[in-house]
Amino acid sequence: MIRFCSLFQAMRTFALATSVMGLSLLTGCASFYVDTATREVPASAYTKPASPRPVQVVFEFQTKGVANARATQYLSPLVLDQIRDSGLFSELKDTPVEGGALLSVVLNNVPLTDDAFGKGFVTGLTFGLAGSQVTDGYVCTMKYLPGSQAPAVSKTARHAIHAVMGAKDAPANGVKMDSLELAVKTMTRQIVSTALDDVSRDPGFQ
Amino acid sequence: MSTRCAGAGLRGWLWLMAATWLLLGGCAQIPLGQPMASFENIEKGRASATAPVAVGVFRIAPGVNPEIDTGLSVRSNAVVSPIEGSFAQYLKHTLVADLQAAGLYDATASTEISGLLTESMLDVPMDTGQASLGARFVVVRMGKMVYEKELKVRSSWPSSFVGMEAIPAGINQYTSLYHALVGKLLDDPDYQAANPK
Repeated sequence: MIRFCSLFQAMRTFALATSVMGLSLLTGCASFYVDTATREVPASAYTKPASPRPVQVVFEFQTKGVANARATQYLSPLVLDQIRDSGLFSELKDTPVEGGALLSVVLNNVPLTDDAFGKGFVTGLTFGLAGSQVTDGYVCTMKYLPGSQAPAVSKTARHAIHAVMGAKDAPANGVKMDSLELAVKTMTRQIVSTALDDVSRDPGFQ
Repeated sequence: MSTRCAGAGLRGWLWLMAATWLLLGGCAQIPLGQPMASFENIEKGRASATAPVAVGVFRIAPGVNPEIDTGLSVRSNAVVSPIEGSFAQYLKHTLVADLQAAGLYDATASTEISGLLTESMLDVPMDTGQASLGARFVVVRMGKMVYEKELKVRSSWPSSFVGMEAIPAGINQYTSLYHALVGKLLDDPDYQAANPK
């Protein structure tokens, strides 16, 4: 089946890409694959505390270590809902909570493929005949400060989205997504669940 | 593979057009993301040992070109504030977000911070990008000015020839300066002395 992409879809993808994805996904015709190395950990698998406490949550999306306000705004509701549904906390707030617990979630987009623009541009110029693959990496750093004198709990998870442009085979280590938006949301859900699971298993959290 | 190539050609065209449009200086209006609290400033606020404050009027400083409050031109694209089209208001909302998250905002407090935007610049050439932001902060407690200082922050970074990479990177660098400026205020020993807990 031939898939024609409308101008609207292209521009929508473009707008999302500029805020959430790196340069690597901006050019050429692209299919998106979420890496298989990091999978979603269901909330039922988390180690739940005996008495969940309230927590203040701060989320930030970064591009190459620099805060990306538009992407933060876009993904924030998704991340907060996921933490709220985790069962690890009794209440989520964006202001200080009783007990002073604070959870910081930073999702940093780091390029893993050199010269991504060049690859995509060549694919575009050749109308897709010269295919290429580029990969964007993501590092989720979750830091939990209990609010007492207890030390912070810090966990890191990693993930990747592969973009295949033009006539090139799908990556063996990727699950194809119907859209860039779905790829970003799936990656976010999987990487946050992994970090949440790690935090829940730390004795400093319980 | 052939079906994908058909879509590939069309989409490749669209991407190529978008890339060319940006490279040649197409014009778009790009709003900053809504201000949200920064973890770094929450920690700075907690460590500052300052009292909760109200936040008053923020506007462009007298004598400063009013255009720096309303927009920035980046390779023919207009970067604008999502809050009343004013970067002074963007600074105010960033300050409120950080103070609230640090437990240092109280709309009824007798101490109030106001601000005058004195500098706002974003330059994204093809070698080194630069951005700067400045404001004069004034703290008044029960009618008496207890703090007045202009604070400035700057940033520079390697900037790409390619607009699609350079423009978002420049916007992120510029937006980050708002939290950096608020952080500089919270770190300022003079501010901490003027507004003790």
